[in-house]
Amino acid sequence: MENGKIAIPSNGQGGLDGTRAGHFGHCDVFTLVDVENGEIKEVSILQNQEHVQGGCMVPVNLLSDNSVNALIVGGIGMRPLMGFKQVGIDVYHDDQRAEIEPVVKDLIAGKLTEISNDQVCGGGGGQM
Amino acid sequence: MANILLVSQEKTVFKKIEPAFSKDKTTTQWVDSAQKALSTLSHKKFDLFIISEELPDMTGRKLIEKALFQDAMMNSVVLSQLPHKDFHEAYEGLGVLMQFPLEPGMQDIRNLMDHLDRIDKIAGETNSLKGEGN
Repeated sequence: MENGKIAIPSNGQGGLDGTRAGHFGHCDVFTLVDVENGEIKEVSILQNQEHVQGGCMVPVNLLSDNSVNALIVGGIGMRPLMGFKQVGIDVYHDDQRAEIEPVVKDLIAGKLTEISNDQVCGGGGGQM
Repeated sequence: MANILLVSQEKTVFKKIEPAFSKDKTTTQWVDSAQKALSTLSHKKFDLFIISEELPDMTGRKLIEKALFQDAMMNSVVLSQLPHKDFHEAYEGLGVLMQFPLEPGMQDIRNLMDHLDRIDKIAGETNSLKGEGN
C-alpha cells in the first residue's frame, strides 16, 4: 500500500504497540494508520461502538465514514465482509500474530492477502 | 419509507403481522421461493427481508448468503424453530437481526422495531477519538 488508511481492531487503548482484538465487532477501539508514500504518517484511535446481534453494519459504516481503505482481521463473518467490500474497504487476513505493528508493516509491504469469501466464520470474529 | 420483502412458501405465515405492514411508509412484497426473492432483490432495494428457514428451492441460510452478495446493508429476520443457541450458532456470521417463530405475531414485530431502534441509536453515537496519536 502506497497511500491510504488502515484500520486494525484493537484491545484496550490500541496504538501501534498495542494488540489486535480477535473479534472485530467486539473490539475496544480501532487503531487507524495513515500511510503516505509507503510510510506510516499518522496513528490515531477510533472508539468502537456497542455490538448487538445483527448490528454488523455499524462498524462497516463507522470505518467507511472515517475514510478507511483497508482493514486487517483475524476472522470475519459473511455479512460484514460483504458490507466492507460493498463500501470499498479491502479486508486483509492474518490469524497468527496478536501484535498490531508487524501486520501493519506487512500490509504496507504487500505481504498480507485479502480474505476470501470461503474464509469467513460465524460470529463476525476469529482467533489469532 | 421501509421496504420489506417477505419470503415463505405459504403467505399465511405472515397473517398475524399483516396489520404492522399496513402503516404509512411501509411497503411489503411477498414471494414464495428463494429464486424469486433473489430476482426481486436484483432490481429493487429492500430495507428488510423476513424469510422462512425452509423454502422449496433453497434453505433460508443459503438465501441470505446469496442476498448478501447483492446488498449486505439489507437486514434479515428468519422464521425458525431452532433452539435459540443453535440459531445463534447457525446464523450469527450472516448478521441476522432476529429469530421469529414459524408464525410470528405482533409482539415479535414490536421486539424487532425495538431492536432496530437500538441499532439506529448505536449507529448515531459515533464517538471518534481521532487525533489521539500513538
